[in-house]
Amino acid sequence: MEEEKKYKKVSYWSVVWSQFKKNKIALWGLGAIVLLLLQAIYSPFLSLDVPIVYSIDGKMHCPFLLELFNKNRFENTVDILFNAVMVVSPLLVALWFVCKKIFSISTNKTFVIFIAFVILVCFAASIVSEKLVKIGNRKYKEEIAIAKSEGKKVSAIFPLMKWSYKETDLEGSNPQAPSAKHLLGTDSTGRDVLTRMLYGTRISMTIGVVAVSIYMLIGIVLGALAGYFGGAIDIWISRLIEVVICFPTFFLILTLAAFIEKRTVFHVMILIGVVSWTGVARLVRGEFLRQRGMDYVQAAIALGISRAKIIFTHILPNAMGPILVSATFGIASAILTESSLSFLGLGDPTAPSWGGILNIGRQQGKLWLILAPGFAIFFVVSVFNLVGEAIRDAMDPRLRQ
Amino acid sequence: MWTYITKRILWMIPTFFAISLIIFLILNLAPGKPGGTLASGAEGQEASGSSRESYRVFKSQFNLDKPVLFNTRYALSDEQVEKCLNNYANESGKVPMKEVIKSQELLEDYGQYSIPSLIRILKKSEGNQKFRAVVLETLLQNAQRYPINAYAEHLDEKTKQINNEIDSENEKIRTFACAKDASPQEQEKAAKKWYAWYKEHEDRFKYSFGQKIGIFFTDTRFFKYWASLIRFDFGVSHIDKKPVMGKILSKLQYSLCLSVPAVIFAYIISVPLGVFSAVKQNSKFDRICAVILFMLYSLPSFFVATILLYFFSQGGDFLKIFPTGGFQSPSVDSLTTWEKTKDIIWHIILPLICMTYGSFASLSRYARTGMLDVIRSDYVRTARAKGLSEFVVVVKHAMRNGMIPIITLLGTLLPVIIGGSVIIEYIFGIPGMGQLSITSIYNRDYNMIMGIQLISAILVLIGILISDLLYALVDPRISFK
Amino acid sequence: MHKENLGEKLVSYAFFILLFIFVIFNIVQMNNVEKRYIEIRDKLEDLEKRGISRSSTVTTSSVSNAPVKQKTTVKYLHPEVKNFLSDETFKIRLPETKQGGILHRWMPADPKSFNTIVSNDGTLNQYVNSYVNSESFATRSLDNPDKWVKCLADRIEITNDYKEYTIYLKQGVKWHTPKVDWKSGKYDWLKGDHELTAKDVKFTVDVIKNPQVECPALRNYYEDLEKVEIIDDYTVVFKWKKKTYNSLSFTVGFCPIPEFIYAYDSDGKPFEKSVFGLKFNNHWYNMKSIGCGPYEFVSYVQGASLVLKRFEDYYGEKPAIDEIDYQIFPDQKQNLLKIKSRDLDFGVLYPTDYREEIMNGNPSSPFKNGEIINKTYDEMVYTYFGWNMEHKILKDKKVRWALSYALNLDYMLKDIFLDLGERTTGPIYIKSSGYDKSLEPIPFDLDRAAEMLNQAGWVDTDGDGTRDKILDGKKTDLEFTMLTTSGSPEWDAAQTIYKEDLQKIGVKMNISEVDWAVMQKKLEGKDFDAMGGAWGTAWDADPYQIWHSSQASIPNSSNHISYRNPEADKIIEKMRNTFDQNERNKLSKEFHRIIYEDQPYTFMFARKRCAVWWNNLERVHFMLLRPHDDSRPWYFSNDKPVKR
Repeated sequence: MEEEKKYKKVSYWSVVWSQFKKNKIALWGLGAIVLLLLQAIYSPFLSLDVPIVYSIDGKMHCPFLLELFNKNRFENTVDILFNAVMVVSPLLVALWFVCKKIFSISTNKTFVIFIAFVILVCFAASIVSEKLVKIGNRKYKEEIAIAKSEGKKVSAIFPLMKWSYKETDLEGSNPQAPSAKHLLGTDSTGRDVLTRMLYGTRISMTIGVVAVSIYMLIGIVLGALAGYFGGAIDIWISRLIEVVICFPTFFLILTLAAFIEKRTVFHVMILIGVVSWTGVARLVRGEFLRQRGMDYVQAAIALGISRAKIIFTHILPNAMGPILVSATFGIASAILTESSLSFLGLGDPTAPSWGGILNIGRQQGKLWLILAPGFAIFFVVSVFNLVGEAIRDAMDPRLRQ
Repeated sequence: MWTYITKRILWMIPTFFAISLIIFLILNLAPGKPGGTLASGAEGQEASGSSRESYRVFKSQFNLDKPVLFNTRYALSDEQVEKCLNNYANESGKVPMKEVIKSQELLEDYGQYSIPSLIRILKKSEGNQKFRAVVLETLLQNAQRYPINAYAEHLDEKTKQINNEIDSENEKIRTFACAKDASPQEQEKAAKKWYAWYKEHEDRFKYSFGQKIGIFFTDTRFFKYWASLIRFDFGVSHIDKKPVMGKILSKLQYSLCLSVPAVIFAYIISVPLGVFSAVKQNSKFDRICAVILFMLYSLPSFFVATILLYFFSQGGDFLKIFPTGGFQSPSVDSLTTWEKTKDIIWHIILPLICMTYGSFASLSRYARTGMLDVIRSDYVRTARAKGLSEFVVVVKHAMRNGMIPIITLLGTLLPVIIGGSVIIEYIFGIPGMGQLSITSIYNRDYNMIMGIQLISAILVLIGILISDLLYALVDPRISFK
Repeated sequence: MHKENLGEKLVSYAFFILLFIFVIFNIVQMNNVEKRYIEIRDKLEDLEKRGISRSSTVTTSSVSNAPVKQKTTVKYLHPEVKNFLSDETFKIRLPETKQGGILHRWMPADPKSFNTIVSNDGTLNQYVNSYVNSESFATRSLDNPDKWVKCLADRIEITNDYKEYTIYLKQGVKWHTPKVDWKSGKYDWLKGDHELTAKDVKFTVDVIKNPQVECPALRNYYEDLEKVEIIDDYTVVFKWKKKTYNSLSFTVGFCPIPEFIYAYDSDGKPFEKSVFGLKFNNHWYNMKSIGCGPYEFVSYVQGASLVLKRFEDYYGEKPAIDEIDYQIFPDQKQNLLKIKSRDLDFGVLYPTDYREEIMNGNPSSPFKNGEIINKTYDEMVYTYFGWNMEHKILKDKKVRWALSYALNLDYMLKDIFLDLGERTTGPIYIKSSGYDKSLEPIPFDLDRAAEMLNQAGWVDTDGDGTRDKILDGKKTDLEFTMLTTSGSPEWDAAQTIYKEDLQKIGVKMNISEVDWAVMQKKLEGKDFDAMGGAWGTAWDADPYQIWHSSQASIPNSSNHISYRNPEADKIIEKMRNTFDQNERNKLSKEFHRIIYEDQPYTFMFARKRCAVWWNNLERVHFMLLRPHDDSRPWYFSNDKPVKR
């Protein structure tokens, strides 16, 4: 019984995983990524100017849930999306466990479908809620303070900090130095820096993941086509790659970003994605060229399996290793590119981006405005690089003991 | 080998053409107007009048009045022109201002091609006083021709003569002008003059098939740009009308002063470091080194630059050792060469650190892996077995092969060396290529942006070629095919 | 290792060491030689400055063949008319003024061209032209700008219908010597003294009227100029088609350019007539400056320096300072440091630096211990938020007033703009006599703003936090986009605060930050809801271009917000035909009140600047007119130590 299991379970990925697990630092890195993601998702619990629950004269109010989808409080679609994930995810995770317990489904395929389902639901939820939720912009803090001064019985549970990322605090000369009220001080308009940092995680994470997905998609499709079919298609696609590789990438992104009038985070993602797919395309093409000659592909062709199926179900999974590594590094560099753009003032002006905070810090010459975002960028970039490196080492048979 | 190089260089031409086409399209189809005469100070100076006319001169100087890729204006229909005229006249007052301006620009751009249609419309529009005024105004503006080759240094006699003819004709045309609120009779009088003039020059506006093909392909922005590009002429900057190439060359010295030492230092530090940590693989030194290099590799350069400025520059709060920016002191005139050198070094130390650390982090990792690959190989083991000292083995035998990948990287660094770093130059205020690029973006200086993009593209092409060649030169296993 | 090898190595090592020593020795030697050279050069320059010329340079006066013209007596065409110009003027030089010294100043950007006709460059106007080539027939008096005083002209006669102006030029006004490579012999045609004559005036008018020349704004001003007649070498007549106040100020304030250089190509041949305009736009002398002002152009190095020297043949009162040395660099931080290290004698601080150094400065710093003196002065600029009057929401006057009430200008002035400004209520320059001081700045009052919006029918009916109203049968949210240029941290902060305040009263403001090129395109096409900007004003500005309704429907006009008010139009037109200063002031006040009541702009501040200078610079005086920091009356007192 035990032996049978052993033989069954040793797939390529489980070997890689067992290698990966040996690298303790990388495991920490992976943990940090998960933590960052959780922090990004649950930022409203860490800092928001809306009480989770409050009661005035014994009457309970719970505006928190609805406020999460209030366009007046969260300007960015990215925020609404993350809030949707925050609300929906616990329910779905619970559902997942129930399904697993009752129906005992646990194959990888269903897992992927499940994830896709979660993302879809979140998208739908965020879009629908934007249209439905109309609560105006109530100032709960002021309301509670007024009620208190009128001598009513008031109790409220707030998130850890009581600031929203765009609320301006004008009760002091801004930028304010770090204090008990603002743990990391404020920026030049009196917005709480720590809160902006927390919400900035969302922006960075989204930029990394989405930009990389965009260029992965372009790169994989073009590379696969070139590598699998060869011939004229290969020549043309290779030419295209050669041309695009010659573009001065960062300068081109700068130019295009300057030309877009109402820049949003999504524009930045698309720009990064559209310009930097060449590396992946070359990688995939090479991998496909290598795999195409292998026996299993020849066998599949002989069996009369359709080309699309061969590409996507046979070759691609085998070529996935290097792609995954380059994606992990890609996320790091996409985050860097975005923060450089914001630093130069060519990012999304409404989004609380780390690069933007750093730029204000440079202009104002204030240490807290420089160090906090700088180290945040450094941390995220190095964590992703670390994990990418660990995966690469784990997949390198030469380093396997 | 020479055939290989020639072949590669020949391949570069179509690649370069494709690159220029793509960048050209992106720039020309992007929203926003090119800068130039319009982009004066950022905050409105004293209210300026209509800058239309000078914008027209500006457009014709930079061929912006021509279509981007193909010109079909020889077949301009009356309806098209009339629609624009209607929009421009805006008699109902309901046409949005955006449309009015678009029509106005189109009418200007049609230039000579619109003359026959305009004359026909003029004939048709009798009685409609307001509309006719617009037609006459457009006619007056479009019928005047620009002198040929006006910006050339020296003109030959024939061109001069043609220009004089054009000038006298323009002068004659200007006498046809009639005021905007002229009475229908006056308008009719002006119209009569126009008909007579048109009759005289009618054959100028009839195009043969060959001419049409010529116009279709050659009277376009892209063709005009390429026609000068073939002579390595990147045009002149929209802002100060100085040649793009000259401006780039004048900025080059600053970028080179920064990037060449940066690359040299990066190599000087990274090669021994990489070799040493490869030789002492898995030692404490190797591990610490790896961690530090890894951290440096992930540190964003703009963060480091800001921090360095904050702590070590005179503008900061801590150690006031270095200047806050710039390439040299303003009082360079009264310094000797030696003092000037010292002054420049004093200025570029901080930016140099920023430029060096990132590249040496990645270079030493390359050096380490390159050495690791070699050090396990048989011939190194043989050398050791011969009883040679470890130093000789490493330096003489292993390093020669182990450094191949890092040497070939030199080719790909070429664009970085010449192009400089946008962010570092921006933060430290060094007037090099990077700052030139960013200011040209802010100013919408299309020719400048085009020039910089194309030059960096050429550099990438050459860099790839060089690194391939280097690879083949140092590694005899690779042959030229 | 073999022994021979060792020997060889030793020899080669020794060789390298020797070489190294040699190189070091050479460097030291060269350094000394160069130092001597620089010393000698500086001394020579010093001598030259004192009037002793070097024998090697070709000075123009020595080759001058032109006969010195005798002063001719002038016959007045209209002797019965009183001279329009008055004599009294601000004294540039006082008896105690000490001559000498070099003034080091900062210039933030390179000029695009030094040609005053073609270039409409703010930097150039402020830093160079006022010294070199903006000498006009007459200028507004520096202490009482309502009066005109003599400059290039001695006498101006104006006919009663204000259509014909006779100008009598001063005699003996010399143009600066062109800065060209005399030794090459290529420029021999330029040799000789050149005097300002009526020919130059006529030439300048011809240039402005040439349709190929890139000076649309200037040409627009002189559109009604019918013709210019030369009576004799020193007398010209300007004839205008219409009687307008502008024709007065543009005739009297006319600046001629030298014909002897601008009409010719670099080889001394006159330009082909057919391409004259285009050649003029890219004239070979465009990167150098020439005029007849108190300072002459010496040298310009792009991105580094610009040097002006006192013009010894200047016809008027010569300033005390010998040389003005501009250092060109864009970074404002460096500017501050160079003031501190005394590389610059005079500078203007940006708000952030102002806060760090003057407001929160260390008491031992030179800014606080009296070594560097600071003073704020008024700049002729006002900032504003402009509302597009054709926008369906903003065309309602009540809404605009409510938006003005919701702008927390007092906080912004105190905390963001650091009191470097003054609340202003209208488009008139706050210090001019046409500004109505009785109009109160609008206070920050959110409740009042909300109430006004309620009155205007804007109520939040659907509870989404934004007020709405049925407009043209469609429910519309009270939402608009504010268009501003990017790059100024102060504006960024102001907008963010405004946005948050507006949200409190249920108004949604989106911010669109674009760069200047895009902004211009949008303003031209009137493709915006609201915009933030600044206008530079003049002493007695003509409001026609910004406020007249005839400019409202023209694309590309300065009235980009499409302001139309028949009452205002009437006053503007009346002002254009009024020549009496008191009457003009009265009209201007009336106009100010109308604009205030309409609130087409929410006026923010009349901007101020903080200037700082080292205390050995004396008589630093700020002019009421642009350029405010004209250094002509300043001088160095040498009794205080100069550390440089």
